[in-house]
Amino acid sequence: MSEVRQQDVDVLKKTVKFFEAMLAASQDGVLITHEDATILVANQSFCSLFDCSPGDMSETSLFDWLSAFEKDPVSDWIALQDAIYRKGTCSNIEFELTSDAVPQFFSVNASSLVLHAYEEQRAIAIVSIWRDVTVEKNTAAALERANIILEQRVAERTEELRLERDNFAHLLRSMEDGCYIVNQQYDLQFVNHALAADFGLWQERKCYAYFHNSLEPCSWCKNDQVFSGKTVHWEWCSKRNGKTYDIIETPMAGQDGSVWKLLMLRDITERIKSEREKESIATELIKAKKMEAMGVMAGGVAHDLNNILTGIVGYPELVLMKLPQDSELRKPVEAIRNSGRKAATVVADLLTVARGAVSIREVHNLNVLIKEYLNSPECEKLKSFYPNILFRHQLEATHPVALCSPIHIGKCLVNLITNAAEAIGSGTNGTVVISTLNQYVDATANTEHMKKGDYLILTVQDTGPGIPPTELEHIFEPFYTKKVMGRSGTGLGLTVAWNTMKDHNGKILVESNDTGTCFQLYFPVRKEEGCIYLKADNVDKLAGHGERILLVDDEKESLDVAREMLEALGYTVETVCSGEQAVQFIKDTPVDLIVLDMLMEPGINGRQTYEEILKLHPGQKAVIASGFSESEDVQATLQLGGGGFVKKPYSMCQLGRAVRGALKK
Amino acid sequence: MTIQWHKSTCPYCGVGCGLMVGVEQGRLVQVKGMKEHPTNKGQVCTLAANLPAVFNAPDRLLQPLLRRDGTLIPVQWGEAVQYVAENFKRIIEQHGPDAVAFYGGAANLTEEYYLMNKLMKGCIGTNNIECSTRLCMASSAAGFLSTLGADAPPTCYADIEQADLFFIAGNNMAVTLPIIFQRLKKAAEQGTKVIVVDPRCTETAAIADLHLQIKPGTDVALNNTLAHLLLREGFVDEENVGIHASGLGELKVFLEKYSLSYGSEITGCQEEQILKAARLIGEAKNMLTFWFQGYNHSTQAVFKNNSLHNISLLTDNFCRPGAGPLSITGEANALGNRWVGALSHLLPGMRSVANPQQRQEIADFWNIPAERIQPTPGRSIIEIIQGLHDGKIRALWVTTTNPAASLPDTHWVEEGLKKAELLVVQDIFHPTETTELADVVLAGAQWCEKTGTFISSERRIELVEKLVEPPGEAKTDCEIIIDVARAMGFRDEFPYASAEEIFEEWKLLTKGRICDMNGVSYERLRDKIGLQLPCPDQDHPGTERLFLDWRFPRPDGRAALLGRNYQEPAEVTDTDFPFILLTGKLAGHFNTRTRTGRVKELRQREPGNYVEIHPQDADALCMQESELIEVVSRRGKVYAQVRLADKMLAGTVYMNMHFGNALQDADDRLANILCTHAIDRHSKQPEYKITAVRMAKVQAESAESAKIRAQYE
Repeated sequence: MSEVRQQDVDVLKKTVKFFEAMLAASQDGVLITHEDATILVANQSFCSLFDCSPGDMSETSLFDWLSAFEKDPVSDWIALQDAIYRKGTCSNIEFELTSDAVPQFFSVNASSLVLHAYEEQRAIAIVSIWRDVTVEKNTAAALERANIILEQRVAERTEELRLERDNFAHLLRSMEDGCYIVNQQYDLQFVNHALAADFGLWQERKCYAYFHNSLEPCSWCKNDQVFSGKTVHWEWCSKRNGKTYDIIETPMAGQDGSVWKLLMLRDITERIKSEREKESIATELIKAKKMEAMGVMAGGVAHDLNNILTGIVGYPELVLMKLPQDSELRKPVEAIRNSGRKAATVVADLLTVARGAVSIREVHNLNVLIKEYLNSPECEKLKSFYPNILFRHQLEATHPVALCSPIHIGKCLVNLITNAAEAIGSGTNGTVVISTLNQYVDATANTEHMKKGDYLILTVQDTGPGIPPTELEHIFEPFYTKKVMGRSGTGLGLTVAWNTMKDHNGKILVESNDTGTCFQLYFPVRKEEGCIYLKADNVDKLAGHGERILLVDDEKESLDVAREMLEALGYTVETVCSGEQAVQFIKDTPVDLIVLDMLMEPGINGRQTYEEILKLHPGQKAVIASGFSESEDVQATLQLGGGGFVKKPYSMCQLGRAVRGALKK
Repeated sequence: MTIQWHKSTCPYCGVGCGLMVGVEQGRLVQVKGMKEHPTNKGQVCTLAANLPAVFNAPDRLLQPLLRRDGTLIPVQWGEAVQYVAENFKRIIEQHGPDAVAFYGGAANLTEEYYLMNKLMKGCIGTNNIECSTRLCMASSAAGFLSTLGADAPPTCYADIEQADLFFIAGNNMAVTLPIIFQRLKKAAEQGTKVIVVDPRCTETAAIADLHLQIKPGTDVALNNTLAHLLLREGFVDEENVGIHASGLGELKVFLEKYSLSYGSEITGCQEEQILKAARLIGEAKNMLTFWFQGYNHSTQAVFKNNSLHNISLLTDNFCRPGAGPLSITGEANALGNRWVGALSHLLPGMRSVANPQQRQEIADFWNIPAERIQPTPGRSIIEIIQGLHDGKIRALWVTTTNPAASLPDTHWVEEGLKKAELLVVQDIFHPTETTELADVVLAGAQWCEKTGTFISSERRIELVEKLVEPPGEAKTDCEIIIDVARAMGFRDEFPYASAEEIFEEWKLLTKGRICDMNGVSYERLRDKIGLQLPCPDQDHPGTERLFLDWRFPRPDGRAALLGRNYQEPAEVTDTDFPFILLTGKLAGHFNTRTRTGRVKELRQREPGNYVEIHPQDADALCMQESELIEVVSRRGKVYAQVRLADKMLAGTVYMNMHFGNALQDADDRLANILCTHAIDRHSKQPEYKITAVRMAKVQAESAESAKIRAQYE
């Protein structure tokens, strides 16, 4: 061996020693394997994993060592090897060597190395560096576990919060109470739908601007109290929408960490209104009861007095007939008679006051009644007493017909007109206007608890000095009068009027101020009453005699109207609201006539109903009601022998005629 | 009619003695040694001499059997093949390819294993194919692979006559390899020194100049101590060793702890004896080493091989005539089966399933996708049995071997085999311990009833030809494998019409490999002495010895010196099991006696099992010569007659392995019942040799023991 060669060998030996020392010193496991997994080099650190020495591992298969561990690390190695073939290197591959369920974790970096082996065959070796990361992994695993749990919790909480938020948002959106949040600087943070619907867009506005169109905080602002931690409860009536709100203001934690203010607003407008209504109804009820009690009493007294007065009124007449014309007794007897008559008038009034006295119900034209009175001698007499007063009438009602008791209406007129004249007095000029008009009263608009519907209003208005408010509420009470007793009235005039309107299911209203007083009598009207009145002569001809009639209609209101009409005409009425029910009804209870609506939903129509009924009762009389007289069904039904037809909508007369005609067939 | 003589090769052990087989009127009538054959020079052992009797033995399978309602009944071939193929396919479909396994004998012909390997690894796609060489030479193979870089036994029998020292460890050659032993004995008579390492004072030890009676399983410590001493005594030319072997530096450091006193303490050998051994080795010019199951039946088997090779490498006893390791296999074709890839980690042509390049080569050759061949080793046979227990393996096909008697921990094995959904057993006799458990028994052909090649322990490839027809409907194993493969749908992959066609295909896979047989053909082998591989072309005379150029198939071209630590065996003695049981074989029986047990002359020699006990131990236990006793391990109990033997080390006892229950009524005489199925990590070979046992007198005369006694008396 030449000297140069020897030097090369020495250098090589030194290099090898150096590398060997490096391998031995490495804390990381260093492993060089042949591609068939034969271990070429394994340093002490690597061998320690398997509790053996480098000599034990050398030239053995890595599989022999790995397969002693659980979880098939051999397959992991194959996968690592595949990765190296694809990419040349791979780093931070996690390896798990688990023995007796105790895992050791390694982070493996590996790369390939070409060896020039036996007979110049190229062989691939794999160099892998194994770093034990068990401690880190366990720590990391613990952290990861903690993290996972944390993330789970966060996710759960987020989900909860999301649900909560959604619920809350949904709640805020759907609730009818208003709700808003404002910070201490009056900046709106949130306004819910209910409020926004009333007050509009709220974003980036101050609360006072939003709610009050104001440029500065409200004088009544509760901020001081609320931001000092108190909950404030108060009521506020918005001028913007006229609504009254019950407000609870309470401090809350704001998103920015400061204190915010939560306001819950409940619209109590309706509640207040209904409370007030209840109050007034209660007052009225008390009044009505009082009046009723008095009426009962007065009625009782009047009956007795009537009997007593029969003598007082009757005998003077008999005595006067027998007394000579010049008899000195004639004058006192006449006085007795006149006093008796006067007492009888009072008693008559008292009897009017007695409830239930208004028994006669006739259809009358109020305009006619008023004109008759104004032209009556009684009224002429009144006019003559008050030449200074102009009596005018404005009879504007186009439908002046009402079911009423003309005697009582007359009394009301007399009393009201007399009162009006007396209020003006004989000393001053004045006007008494008697007027009528038709008016529809809307339930929501009226404050006097009248049923909605059409009314005929009789008004008596004077230009007198008015009734002081303190007296106004007592004027309908019996014997409450400012007038000198005996001079003109009985003290029962307005009581009679009040009672009369009560008996007519109407209402008497009074308004008074220093320019005068106005009494309004509301008579409820039904359009049909006009018909009856106008065809009054024919009513008898149309009237029934208790015949049984079955009304069939799917619209309840139509049924009700028709029932009232036919009952008013004196028929016995039954109603059902479908064809099927009609058939069923007829099966058990025969009737004289059926009034049959043609179009009914759901279920069978009028024609089908009639066909079914004819099977049960051939020759059953019927009147067909329909909006379409030309329809095929109507024609077919009529051909079945239906008898009558009435086009909807029908009047009482039209219906009555059709019914009468069908019954006569 | 005269006897026709044909050249053949002995089907028993792996020495590969040349035999002349006399056939008369289609019947095999006589067997004698082939005088011209370099291996045996006309000699035959008692097993070979009794081969004709095997052809006349009872119980020969004449047609397939199928288990119906618990009973094996004869069926036609078509039905049996269909049954096997369909059930294999079904199980593969249901549970994947790794749910099936194959286990064959090391006496199977190379061609047979080539077919089976192709079917399992190439077609089905599982590496679960095993060979009984796993129980025999797997550790030698792994030892060669790790030390030399290839499973390539480098020496030849001719070295025997050239050596001046035989180092024989764990190998009672006088019994196991009698023909070779005769050559050793002759050489020893002419001056060759002999060192025998064995815990028993065997027939082989009788010719030794030095017998190291070591404690069982301590060979690694002994070898390391010897290496330590050789280095210390200056018998190692370190400069020179470094040229052909790597790792000397590390080895020297490693060996420091294996001092003479340490080695003596572990092995139980006297220091002077160890030193004497070291000096004999150091002074020898040509040392030939022999080892056998004393090494390989161990959980440290591969390390024993490695540490033995260390000694050869250190002392330059390598790659020269007369020097090196001479590994002789236990079964006729163990080397052929290793080279054709009959083990679960191998591919044909000395290739490994773990090597991606080599998988690709085989896949390309078989014209299958490379992914079909799995990259990880399949199950070793012990792992297959474990798989049967776990339900991971559901079908097992066994040929030419008898696992129910031959595997360790027999009861565990039987239990596993019984769990198989499908157990197919291919053999020539019924009953065997394994056919008795089978669902299907396939009637195979034996030696001289079929054609194929054996490769002997000195890499000599020999043609063994069909000289007589198989009896009845029995078929050759190749035919059966092809039938089943085709029935499974692998028609194109199995086009072969003869064994020769298979050989011609397979030999192409050896091209460029150490086992290159491209210069070999049936024609070149017919009626001739076989050729030693590699034999790469037709004019090549064959290769007597390997690595004469000192270039080894390792990455750096050098052999590896490996510092292997000694470890205790898997099972050690304790107060409950205070004795170590060693097992071995009788000269007159082979393995589980499937053949030899049916030959009257052989059977009569040693009809029952016995246990050799040191007189001192027998005294302590009050046991008498010939007394029937119980031998008990953690796994079971067997009965045996006491034989007092001062050739034993005190504390160790010895039994023969052969006595399964198929040929006798008694169940409990098979030594394997006692053995552990612990395996060597690297070779997966079980540790038959070291079992902790206790011995007890048979207390009450049970019906069973009475029966056994009756058999003995």
